[in-house]
Amino acid sequence: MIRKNLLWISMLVTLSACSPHYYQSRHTETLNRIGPGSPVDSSLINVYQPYKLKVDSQMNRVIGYSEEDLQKALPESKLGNFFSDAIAETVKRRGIAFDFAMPTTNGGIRTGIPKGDIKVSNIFELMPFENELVVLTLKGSDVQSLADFIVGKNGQPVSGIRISGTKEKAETISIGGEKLDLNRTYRVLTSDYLAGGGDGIEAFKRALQQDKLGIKVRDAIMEYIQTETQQGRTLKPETDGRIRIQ
Amino acid sequence: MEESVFNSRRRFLKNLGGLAAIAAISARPTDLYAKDEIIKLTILHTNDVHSRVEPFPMDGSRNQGMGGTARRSALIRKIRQEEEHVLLLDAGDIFQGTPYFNFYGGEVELKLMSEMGYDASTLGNHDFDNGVEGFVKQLPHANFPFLCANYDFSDTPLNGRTRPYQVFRKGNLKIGVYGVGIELEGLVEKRNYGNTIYLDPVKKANEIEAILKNDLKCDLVICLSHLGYKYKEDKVSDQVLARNTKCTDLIIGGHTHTFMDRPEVLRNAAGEEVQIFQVGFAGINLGRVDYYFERGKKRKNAVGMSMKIDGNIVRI
Repeated sequence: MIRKNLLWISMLVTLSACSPHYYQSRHTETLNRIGPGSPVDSSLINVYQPYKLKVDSQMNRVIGYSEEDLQKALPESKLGNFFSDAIAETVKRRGIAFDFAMPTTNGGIRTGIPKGDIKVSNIFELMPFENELVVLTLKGSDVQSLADFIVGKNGQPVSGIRISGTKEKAETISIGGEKLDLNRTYRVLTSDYLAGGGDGIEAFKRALQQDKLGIKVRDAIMEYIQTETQQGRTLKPETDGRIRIQ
Repeated sequence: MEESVFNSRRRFLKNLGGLAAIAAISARPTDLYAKDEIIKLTILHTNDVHSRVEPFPMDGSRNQGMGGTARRSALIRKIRQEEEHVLLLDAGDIFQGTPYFNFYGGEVELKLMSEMGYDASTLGNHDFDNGVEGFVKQLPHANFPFLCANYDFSDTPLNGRTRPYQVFRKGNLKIGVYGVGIELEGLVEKRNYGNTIYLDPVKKANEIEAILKNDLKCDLVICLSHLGYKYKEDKVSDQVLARNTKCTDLIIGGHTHTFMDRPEVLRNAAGEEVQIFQVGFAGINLGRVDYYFERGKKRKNAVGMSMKIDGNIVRI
């Protein structure tokens, strides 16, 4: 027993004394692109297949049709206008009053909508987050501050508000066709994420009131598309100069 | 399984027998190893995979047909067959982006990463999307550690479930890996990050890299970062971290979804070379850095060489 312990101790000494020191003599880097030509490991597919069957059964349902490939752009895009207008329209149809909408920042729109059939999965990828809609009551001066934030970010997806100015200041703001009145309050439709301080919108932090609508942002978009389809319409959003930055 | 230096030495001594062992103790280290020994270490990495289990659908969109875990796994298996010492790492934002996350909360993503043999990952902001609780709930599906040095989780359900760093042994090499995460306030809803406290990543990185290099004698120090590559505004990023650390060799980045063909090489606070690499998002790319180690002390003026190996790129 003692002998064994001694051997262990001596081995530890050897280990530290002989511990080799290495230096990096060179390095090489490779970027491996993974695409249609790459081989497949079927054991991985076996892992996700049971999950896939359930996901696909719900995600592959076609709910609408887009006339063109919609992608993000600044200061204004067909995709961003669709996103905001669709949500605003759904909430209006439910009889909830608000003055204008900014349901997401540009960064919250996670991907585009491809031309052709729109599947449920497309909308999950467009808006993967489980955020819900809220209406914030803002002072007129905070609407000015929000508009300044919007031009400062070179545009954000909005509905029911038109803003023009420089990147430093929103000079002209009209809401529902009327000039911004600094002496009244406005009801802004947005998400609980932005209302909770997400993406650092200071004006939202100063909201006088917050009304939770209990509607998921994604569900509002899906409801709009489904209604359009039922009424025989396809998606064909346009840009209309609602954000102009010099 | 990797055999530790200690165990291999132990077996070696056992084979020699007691007397030879005593002889070995007195032998000089250079007698035990071939002088021209070169050890190759292969680092593979992803970032911001965002629940992209399957390739992007063939729908005419920009990334159609790209990525996919089954293909990534096949590539990793092939590299593991070719190379003896491989570390597979991820820089966070594993969660969120496809319905797999909405349906299963990350279970599928972590099971697949475990199956692929990931050695470690850090946490991205979207890994908090179902709250700290939602992340903890999925942890049993991960057989690899989550490393983060600058989130204090002590007052959250994640307390004790992550580590600041981990040392991996590959052959005779020791590789120290640590993680740093982005400021959560303003990016993640408060209800989702709860009582997680964000600590200065540069300060923590300096502390940890010193432990890894000086105390634990690591041959290579890797940072898994979800800070983002660089920003126009004055905000901590991988570039800031690179310039303000002293012994981190490689920063594997994420968050900004930056597609880099090759790592950027900067000088750190000690004037030494540090690399930053980030490979886009969604598992479209697998990054790879091969290091060659030789015995002895690094020459002061030794400069690493960067090269892109086109032959290894799978063209599509």
